[in-house]
Amino acid sequence: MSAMLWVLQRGSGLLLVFLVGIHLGVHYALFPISLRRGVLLGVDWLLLGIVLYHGCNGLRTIAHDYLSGPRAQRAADWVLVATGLGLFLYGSWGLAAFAR
Amino acid sequence: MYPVPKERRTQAYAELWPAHPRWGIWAWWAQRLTGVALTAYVVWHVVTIARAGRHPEALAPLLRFLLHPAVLIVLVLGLAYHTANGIRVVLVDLGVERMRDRRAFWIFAALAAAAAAAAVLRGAFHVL
Repeated sequence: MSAMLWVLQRGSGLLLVFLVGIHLGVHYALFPISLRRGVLLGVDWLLLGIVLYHGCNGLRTIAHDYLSGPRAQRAADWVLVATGLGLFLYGSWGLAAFAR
Repeated sequence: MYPVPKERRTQAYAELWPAHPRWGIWAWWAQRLTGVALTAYVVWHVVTIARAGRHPEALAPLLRFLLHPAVLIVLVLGLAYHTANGIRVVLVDLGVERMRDRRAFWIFAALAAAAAAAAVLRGAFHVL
């Protein structure tokens, strides 16, 4: 389980390099590229999900370093899963407003 | 090199002062620090952007804040460090042993600083 999360943390990190690059590049007009509105919204939605996963997984690693005992660690996992999912749903609802 | 005298290192914040401190531990702490800070920023960004999507009058001041040079510099520098060190760590994990060297770290840090400077100059000051 931990080994899989470790690989996923690296994989999601590498994906984020590209997604954050496109996100900043377009919104801050760093590159002379133009994406269709729908494509950009798709990139941002994907970025929302992956960045929340990467952040929550990173916080989980830190929590497990400081919390001893499987019960406290499991509680931290559930708090992070719930917070991450809640933020993903709220952020998706927020992004949907820009689609109109 | 260390601001805390050697004999006191094991007393206060013992976890911050490893028995055999190496430069890598500082890279690791900085990765954690920037990671936590960036996660806090992402939460704030998601909440404020979602709000601005529903209340268009909130969008302009939010974008003005995000494009403020000071905000952009801190944000992009933290992001660039976390990205560059993260890529270096992935390369170490893949078995590229020379990425453990202090020199590799500074090359990555320099590339990150250059990318961050270019992004800030273009994004906030409209030069380059």
